[in-house]
Amino acid sequence: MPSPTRLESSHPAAGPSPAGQAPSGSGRRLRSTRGWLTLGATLVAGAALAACGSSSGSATSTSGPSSGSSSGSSGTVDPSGVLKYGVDLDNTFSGTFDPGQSTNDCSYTEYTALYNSLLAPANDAVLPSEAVSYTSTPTTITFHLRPGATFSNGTPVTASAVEASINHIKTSPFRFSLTYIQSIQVVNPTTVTFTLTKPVAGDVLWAMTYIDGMVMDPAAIPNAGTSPIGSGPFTLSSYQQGSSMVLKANPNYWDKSAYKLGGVDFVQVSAGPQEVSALETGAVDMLAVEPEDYASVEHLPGIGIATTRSSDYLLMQTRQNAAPFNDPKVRAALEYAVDRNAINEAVFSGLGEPAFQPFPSWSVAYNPSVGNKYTYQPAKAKAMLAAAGHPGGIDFSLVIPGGSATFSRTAQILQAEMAPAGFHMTIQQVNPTDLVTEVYLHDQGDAVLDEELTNGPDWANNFEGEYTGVGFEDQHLGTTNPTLTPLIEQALTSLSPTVQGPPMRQASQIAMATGTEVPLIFEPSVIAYNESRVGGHVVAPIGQCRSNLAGIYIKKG
Amino acid sequence: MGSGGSLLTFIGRRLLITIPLLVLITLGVFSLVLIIPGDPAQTLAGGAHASPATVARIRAELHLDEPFFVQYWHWLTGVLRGHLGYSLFKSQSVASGIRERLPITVSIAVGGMVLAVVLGLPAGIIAGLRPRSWADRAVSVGSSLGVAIPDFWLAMILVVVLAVNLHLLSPLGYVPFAQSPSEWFSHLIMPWLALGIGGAATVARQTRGSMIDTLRQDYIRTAEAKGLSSARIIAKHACKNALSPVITLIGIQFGYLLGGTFIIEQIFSLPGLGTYMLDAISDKDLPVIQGVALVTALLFVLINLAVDVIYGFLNPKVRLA
Repeated sequence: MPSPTRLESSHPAAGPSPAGQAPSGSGRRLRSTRGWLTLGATLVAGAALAACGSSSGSATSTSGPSSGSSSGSSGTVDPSGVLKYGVDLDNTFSGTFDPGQSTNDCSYTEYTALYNSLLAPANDAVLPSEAVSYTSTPTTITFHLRPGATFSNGTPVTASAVEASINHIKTSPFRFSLTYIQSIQVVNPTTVTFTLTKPVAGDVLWAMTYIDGMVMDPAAIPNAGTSPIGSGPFTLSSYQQGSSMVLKANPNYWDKSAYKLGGVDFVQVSAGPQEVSALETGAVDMLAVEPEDYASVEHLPGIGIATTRSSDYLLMQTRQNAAPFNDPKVRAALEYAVDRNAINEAVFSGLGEPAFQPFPSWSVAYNPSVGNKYTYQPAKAKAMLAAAGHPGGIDFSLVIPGGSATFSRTAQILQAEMAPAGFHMTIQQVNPTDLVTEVYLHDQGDAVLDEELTNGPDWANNFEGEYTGVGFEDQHLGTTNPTLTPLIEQALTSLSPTVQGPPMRQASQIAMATGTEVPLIFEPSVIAYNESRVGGHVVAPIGQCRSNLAGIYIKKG
Repeated sequence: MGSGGSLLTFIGRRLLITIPLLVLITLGVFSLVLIIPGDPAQTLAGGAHASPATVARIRAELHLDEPFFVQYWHWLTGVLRGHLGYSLFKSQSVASGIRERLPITVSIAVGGMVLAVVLGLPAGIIAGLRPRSWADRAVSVGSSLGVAIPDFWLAMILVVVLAVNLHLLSPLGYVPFAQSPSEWFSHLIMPWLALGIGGAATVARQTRGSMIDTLRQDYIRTAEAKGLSSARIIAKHACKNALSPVITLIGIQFGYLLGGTFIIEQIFSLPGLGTYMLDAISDKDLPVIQGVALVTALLFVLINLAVDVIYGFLNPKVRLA
């Protein structure tokens, strides 16, 4: 019987100083401290590993939030202080408070204030939330719930509530990972076991940090769309669609010391330059900043910035069941035709990490032997292209989702970089919601500029959808790769670094050598806040929409 | 038959013309199903991970697998009963979504229109009364600038000056009138200015030209010869006739302002019909797109009807046309 994996808390207030905490009072600070952040995170992860120990087939690594973060200048906590958090509610919130009905994954930002998931996400670990520990085999996971936890209405959080919640959320077509859950068994009021249809415990564990794993009061499920009852740090006070959402502190929250806010007002701020003016004028206290707006907020007086490294990454996927990218030699040449450093500097203000392989340098899946081998070498790429039978180069089209400055600028830079290597690219913009239909169903374009979102320590997750034949992308782009499949399947069985690391390092090498994808940049996550209002430990979301409001407060006065 | 009877006949005739127009509008609006690319069923079924069976089931539920005119009939009968369908992504009926947002859009458009009239009409009259005077030149230059400056650019400049630099107004958000009239007002000043200044310029130019033409008419000269005071001539004779074409322009201008709110709402993060529509277009939320397009088109029709009626009331000759 595997021993339980005890998880370190994600709340800054509940443990020692968080990794990577920047000096107090400094606004723009994290680029220069990245190395220290990595070191700090590694030390915390190492300490946690040592403390937890591991047992075969059941253990996972745990660590504190391995992120860049920022401490707002000191100030007295206003216990009734309400954070005005700028978000594009119209575009990122589903309009329902029922996780089982959500059609927009970015609703996680608001949901996570109302509901606790079984686990909490970090960049390279899962952390405790409603579950304080778990044991797993490749096909079973047993969660041990926090004793004494209650929903905001005082009802106890039990294993039966977990069962009811997961069974409800599982009905959503958007919760793909839950389809792996064959049955849920309530062992006792604080223990619940999932039996899986296949050995993908790593996948399901990561899903439990997300909307998939949110725990709802079973009695409130029928009305959860408008009257959510969860066990999160806040409760819903009012909501006006597309305009505002007002939350107040949950008096029954188990870890009140971690959440020092009296409430949160989610304020509608449409994407664009208005985000910066909203921050400047004090209309909002805090908001996530798009990479292209970083330069605009960088020098604003009184505005602090926190960045978080992320394994969200921008990549170019090629159509490998049709010319010209059905030839592995052409794809291999493409890896040398892109200048990842230039894209990082021009589009991401140097805050991202050039992706010379699909996994960031701080991950267990990073392969040192691949290292930074795929630097920009247009002459070499051109020679490889000629050797592949294309001395005059090739013409191809790249589809990008329209309306995003990040994608648009990246595509233009790629176009300029690739030309000397003989890759003559045209850019086709499509509506972001049409990307799936146009690229995969209607075969538009020879390649697509896309992004893969973080899966924390589940490093095999993205590869599963792209190369094992189970995903939509690989079926339509012809990227199923029999060499990669067993490695990916091996890694999916657990979140343990010892299980995920070796096969994924090997997969990384194979993917790059055969040009299976062209990873470009690991995107930074940036959050800006008003230093005169917001105090405490500000953490940027790890990846898109995964905000964390723990540890911050509104200053008195 | 008296003039009142003629006016009623005129209104009746206009209403009759409106009916086929509305049918054409509903057909045009529903045809958006055919024009807009993408597959909402695929998105609703879970996107990339959707199984073909789930996509087919959702397509059937939404009647997307039925012939066009069958789909149109489903939709039209729903519309006639006041059901505009449900948003595919917002967990809300389209009718209630529009009900929540329409007052905001109308507040912006009406406020912009009032500003356009309050600024544009007197400026045009003053300029028209004294052509080539300094006042006329100032109005001409000002209105040229007003017409040339795009609404969205003006909106951003207003935000920088009034909100960011002077901290006088909030750059975003909406407060319902019932909640706080003063907050409602202060949150809408910039959108009104952004929309109203361009409108005022157009109204001023039209009023000036119309006033100059009217003052050259024989009946004005006759009134002067009869010894009427200038104020009386201007108020009773010149303005009434000069403003008839201006009223038509104001009606058309109101339509433009209504359209202009779609961008202005985005800049000021106002949750009106514009943001609702733009979001729906991005999501391929067809029921919302159809609902908003229909309501907007109906508003245009009603505004034009009102303008025709007012014009007919002011100018009996129009009723005979």
